[in-house]
Amino acid sequence: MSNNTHPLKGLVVRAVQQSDGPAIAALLEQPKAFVSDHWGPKSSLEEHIKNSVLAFSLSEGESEALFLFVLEEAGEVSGVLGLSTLIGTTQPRYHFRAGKRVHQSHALSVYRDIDLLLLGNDCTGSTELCLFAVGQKSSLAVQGAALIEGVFEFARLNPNLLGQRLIAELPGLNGNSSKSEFWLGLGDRFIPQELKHESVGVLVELLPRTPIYLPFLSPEVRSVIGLVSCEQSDFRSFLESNGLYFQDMIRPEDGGGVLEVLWRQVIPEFNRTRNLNDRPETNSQAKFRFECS
Amino acid sequence: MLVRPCTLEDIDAFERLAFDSPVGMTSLPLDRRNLEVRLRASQSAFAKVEEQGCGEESHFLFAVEDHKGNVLGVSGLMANTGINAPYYNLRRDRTYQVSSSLQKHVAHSALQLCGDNSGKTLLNSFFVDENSRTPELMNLLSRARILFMKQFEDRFQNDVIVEFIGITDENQESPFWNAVGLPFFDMEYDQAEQYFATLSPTFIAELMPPFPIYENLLSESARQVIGKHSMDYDDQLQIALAEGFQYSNFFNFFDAGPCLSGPRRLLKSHQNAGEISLISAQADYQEKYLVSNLKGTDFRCLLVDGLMDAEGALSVSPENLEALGLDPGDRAMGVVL
Repeated sequence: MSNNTHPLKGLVVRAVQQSDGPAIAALLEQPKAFVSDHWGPKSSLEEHIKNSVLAFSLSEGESEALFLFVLEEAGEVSGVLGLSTLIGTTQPRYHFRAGKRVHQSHALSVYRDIDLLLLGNDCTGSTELCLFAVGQKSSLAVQGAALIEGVFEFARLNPNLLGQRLIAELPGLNGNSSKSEFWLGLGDRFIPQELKHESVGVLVELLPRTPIYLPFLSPEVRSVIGLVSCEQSDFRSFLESNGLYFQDMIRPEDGGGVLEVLWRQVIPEFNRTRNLNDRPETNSQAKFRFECS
Repeated sequence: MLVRPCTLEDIDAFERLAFDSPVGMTSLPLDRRNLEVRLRASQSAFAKVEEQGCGEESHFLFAVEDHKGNVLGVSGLMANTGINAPYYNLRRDRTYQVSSSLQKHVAHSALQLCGDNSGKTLLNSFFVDENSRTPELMNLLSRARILFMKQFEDRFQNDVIVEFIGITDENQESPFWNAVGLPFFDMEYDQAEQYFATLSPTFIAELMPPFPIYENLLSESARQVIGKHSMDYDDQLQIALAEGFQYSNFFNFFDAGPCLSGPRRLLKSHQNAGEISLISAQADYQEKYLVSNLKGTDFRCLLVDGLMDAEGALSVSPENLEALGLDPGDRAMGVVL
């Protein structure tokens, strides 16, 4: 028996509506739901939905905005995906970038390549995949893929809202907490005792801005750079199968890797024409709806 | 005891001192040919000191000998650092990071490779036989250089620096080197010091990290020795402090030993020294003076018992006068010990 029905057939990705609140809240309870550190407290979901509905209707793309997409399957919401645009343009976003310097002395026949981490704001203006969850009976391969397909379609239609690049910050081992080997071995060293109770995300502002030499860090710290916590390893593979990749950006909070991709690498016709300073566009995407086929 | 310029004939004594000196004393390498080059350069510097202005490196080496002519120690004086080769130090910088959301700032302390001490006058190469380290000899050998500078003032820079060997452990390993140097040089401390003593120091620039080395990231054992001197050099350091040298933000880049600095004209020996005339008279004098003649190649500096009269003439024994190569009535430079 052959089955000609495409597995995504009948799945719909659409802009969020205020009434989706309870369904999204339930999805975020899933153990493998991915919620970025920058999402904010759970209690603010209603607020986020409101902002997102507004963002879809304005479609201005001038400042940071949140676009929430839901997956509908036979009238039921079975997945959610959030994009934060223009990240870091109101509050700076920090990442380490991994680099290398070669030191060579011919006279001594010494050749050393030295790894560095440089704290910067390289993701400024990018779009962050900040929320992702599918229902218990759904799979990344089907429902997840449908969400991505719908969102890529949105990106194709709205290049000027989204910046050049899509990123996803994945939590590192023993993620963002005072238990993170990475934080304890690097960032924490620069934080005076009286500030250690503050949240790590905020303390990052106090780290030095010139390169950090990795040879000065302990082997334990160096070994977790770019690693992703086990809970998100499936999600990482899923993102990688959709074109995102780890290049050289690292979360300062826990050493987790940042996956990234240029929109035009995954959407050939993605053509961002507008600069940040140009007049905003006015075409509303409030009714955005994409039917997988 | 007498201080005089080193000559090529000192090579055996020089080699013996180099052998006994610690590995961090890179101006005394264990390499006879290299030592010979240094002795020749010193001879030439002394020969030219009377007619030449500042501008050359001019590395003067002084020997201290006992009354039998045995060389007990050596000290050096470089008129200008950074001429023949770059002069590197680590400089401690403090920078602030400010958090606008927390309304807080924190200071980060970092070591930065620098050439800030280039173009200064340097006291170095100080080493004395272990059995001869009396306070008098140490003072004589150390301060003779300052009398020499006073005599040829315009050959030397206003700022004088002196570095002290840092801490090594019982295995002759430097905790600082192991934390900072090893990852970049891929060689042990003594090997690196040996290279530095005998090769062009440009390899420092090639291999040393150009960006700040944050002290917070270093191991406790490395941080503890930054700016600390080896106790073998404590006497010499105390002399430098008494002379008016002060701790600075600069450190040796291999072992993080301290670099002290001071304005030449404010050094105590410089301030208190003056030109005097000498009288030859045999008597039981109570006061001790450092006295030097006013010569270059024939420079001599002595620790003498003497008596200063109201006119500023110093009475010393005929033997001392002869050792200085002077006649009664000649001018000299003198300072109370």
